[in-house]
Amino acid sequence: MSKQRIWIDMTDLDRWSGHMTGVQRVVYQNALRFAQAPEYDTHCFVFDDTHKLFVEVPFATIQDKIEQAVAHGQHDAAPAGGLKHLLRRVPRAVVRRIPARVKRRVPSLVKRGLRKGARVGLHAAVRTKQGLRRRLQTSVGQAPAGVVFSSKDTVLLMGKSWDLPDLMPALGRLKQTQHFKIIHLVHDLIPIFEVQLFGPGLFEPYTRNMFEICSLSDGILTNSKATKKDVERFCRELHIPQPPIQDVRLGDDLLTIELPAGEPAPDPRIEKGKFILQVGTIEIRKNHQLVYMAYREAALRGIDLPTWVVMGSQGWLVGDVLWQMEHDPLVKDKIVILRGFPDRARLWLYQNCRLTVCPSTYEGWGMPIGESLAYGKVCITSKTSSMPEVGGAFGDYVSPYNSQELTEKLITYMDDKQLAQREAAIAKGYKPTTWDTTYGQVAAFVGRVNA
Amino acid sequence: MCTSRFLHLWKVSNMAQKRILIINTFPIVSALTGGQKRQEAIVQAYAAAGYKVQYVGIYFKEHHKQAAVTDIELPPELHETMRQSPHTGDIVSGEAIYDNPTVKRKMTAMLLSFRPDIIQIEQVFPYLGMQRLLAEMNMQPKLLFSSHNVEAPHKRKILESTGMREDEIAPVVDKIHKAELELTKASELVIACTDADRRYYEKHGAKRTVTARNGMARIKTTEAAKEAWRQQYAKQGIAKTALFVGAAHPPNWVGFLEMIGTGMGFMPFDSRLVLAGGICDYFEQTINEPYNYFHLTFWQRVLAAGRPSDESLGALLMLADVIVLPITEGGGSNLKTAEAVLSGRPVVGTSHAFRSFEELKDLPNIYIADKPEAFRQAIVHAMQAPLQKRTAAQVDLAESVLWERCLMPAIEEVRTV
Repeated sequence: MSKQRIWIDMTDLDRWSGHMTGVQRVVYQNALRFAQAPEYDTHCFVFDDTHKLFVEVPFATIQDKIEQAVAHGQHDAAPAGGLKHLLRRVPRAVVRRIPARVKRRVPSLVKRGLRKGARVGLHAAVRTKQGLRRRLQTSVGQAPAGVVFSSKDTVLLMGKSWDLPDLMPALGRLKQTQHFKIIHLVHDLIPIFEVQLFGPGLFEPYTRNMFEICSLSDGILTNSKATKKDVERFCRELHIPQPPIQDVRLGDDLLTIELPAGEPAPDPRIEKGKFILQVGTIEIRKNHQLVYMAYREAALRGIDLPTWVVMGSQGWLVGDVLWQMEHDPLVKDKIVILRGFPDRARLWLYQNCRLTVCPSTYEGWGMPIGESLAYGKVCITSKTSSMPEVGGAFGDYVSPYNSQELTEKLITYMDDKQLAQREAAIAKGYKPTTWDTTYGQVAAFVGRVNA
Repeated sequence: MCTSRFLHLWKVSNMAQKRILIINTFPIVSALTGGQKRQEAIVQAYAAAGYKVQYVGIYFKEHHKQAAVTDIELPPELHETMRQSPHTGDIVSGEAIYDNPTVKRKMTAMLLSFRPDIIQIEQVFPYLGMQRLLAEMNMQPKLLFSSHNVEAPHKRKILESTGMREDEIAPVVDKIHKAELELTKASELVIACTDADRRYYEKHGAKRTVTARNGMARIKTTEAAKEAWRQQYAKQGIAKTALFVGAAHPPNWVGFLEMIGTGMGFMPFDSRLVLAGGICDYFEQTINEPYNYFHLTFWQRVLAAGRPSDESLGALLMLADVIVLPITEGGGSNLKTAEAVLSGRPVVGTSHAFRSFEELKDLPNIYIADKPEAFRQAIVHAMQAPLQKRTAAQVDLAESVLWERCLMPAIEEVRTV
């Protein structure tokens, strides 16, 4: 019996720089296992949006890039001496040479503006370089050869296809003649149903892309029952014939790296066991506002909460709350914000925090909840969307709109006995999901769609 | 002998020269809408039957850019009233025949110079002014009432769909209703569009009635027009099209929204629902709300073709994989139905769209669906199903929708007036 040929979209990881987000984790962990599975003839591709082509890439190339980055604790996988490397190093070197007394006098807004400007510049430069390279290749007759999927193939997409507005239409056109199967893993429909949580620019590409995903896919995987419901709603309301939809549970296991015993804290202001951790992009949806309010309320009541460590890069619509967090005399010294730290730092933080908070207003899944529980740590999270699915009986739930409820919950867990009891229950009862399990569910669905 | 022969010739000549004045509230130069096309066909049918025909449209220049010299343009003092009356402009135009000095003077001149034997009032509205003008001029030509709809209930639905208050609607509807009843009784003959309308007029005192349902001219197109659309479709990756042709007339969008809706996900990836005619303006102006996922995705499967020329529209019709008729309200018989059937392309329509064309429902490639879900499914099915060939008898039946055949009963009846 011939092996099932499966093509996995690796465009996200090919373009990846910085630390891995949840979406990239899902792509990598599943691709890794498909590549190792003997029953599949696994190939990987990236979408070349200049030529509108699907180009094959060896999985080993992506794997090397990620493993090297993880092993060295780098949060930027760009090779030393490369364009990205230079663009990151040069501004830092300049900043290092500025005297400390001058640095102190530069307002944080200006600093943030400069950082943002540098980021935009970096992306623009990298894109220009990629574009130039492709144009040069074309001009000397070296345009990449496109993959033409065949009727027995399955194309599996698990990444952020909304970033590439031509990807799904190009795949759709190819499918009209080649009749292969498409399976797409949908992470969420939040930008469509909760538009207020994002700034301008995302709604249109995201919605258009989701419309084509639902129209073209032979099967849809979702990361939760809540997202499955959202996909069903989208199909129902827009009269899209609903393809088979299956929810899978995402892995909780972080990286397989061991931290040495004396691994230092990622920031000197953080003390082992004396901080509350919040992991995830700093964006309005993640509801840092609620935690900030809870901290203010506790401070006003004279209650001394532990340091609140916020780990994540800056995202949508949080400029105002970040400013408050950084300037509020009542709580600013209680808050440590870590941007752009590597996975091993995240590992340290999970291992050494007192508890975690994840009070998002809406999630497609909620990976930090599972990760927290997998490390035996209490997680205070929201009782909305997918979050109760992740935490089950072991999550501690509050309304994402009620800061007083969160304050009370935090106060409860300042009691060592209460915390220890809850941790014991988690250690005894919570069964972490491995990425092997997730892969098993994905593979079973691929089999069903091809049956 | 010589004298009697002369008299006979004079009578024959006089018969052939019988003069019919037809009055409505729009011009028919470059006819686009269903009403204009019916009107144009009636004028042509009378002319072909040997009558001397004069058509006069009382019109508002902002609504109709082209007109004949014999049409009467509403003067500037009525422009603002017309702008404020998007759905009752026909009443304003009809009343202007008597109430506005400029229009009255021009109509009087027309009556005096043309001296009609018969005046055919279209759609009732001109009767609001003509009745008083004829009385004042002491003219008593024979009246014909050429109905397009039973207008009073039709107007009520239109006004209700705009959200107008009942105390504003009631007097308008009442005025139309009274005019319809009076004209029905005063006319020698009432020409109705459907048998149902005909029965209505009989019940309300018509002396004689005849049904002349709406028809269609043969579809005209050219290979160049078809090629232009083929290229346009290929450029956009469109392999299949469902076509909806409609004027910017409330029943058109009401039916579309009811039977199809704004969720266009039922249309396959490589297909488009093509809109043609004034209906494009309605959708382009209303389905464009930012951050509305219905509106955004609507245009992923819908293509607005604007107001194409007759040739270009003919090309769209002949290239369509299915023509859709999501008509759920409105009186009269439907010109779009006749056009769709005549094209020979598959058709998906409601039972309502086929009112007065019931015998055509059994032709091959015609699908009737009255529930939204079934309607959408029928569109997809019709786009993909192989086209069945019509027999000679079925071709003849389909051609019964041609204007010359649809209007024949009315023309025959008018000869006896």
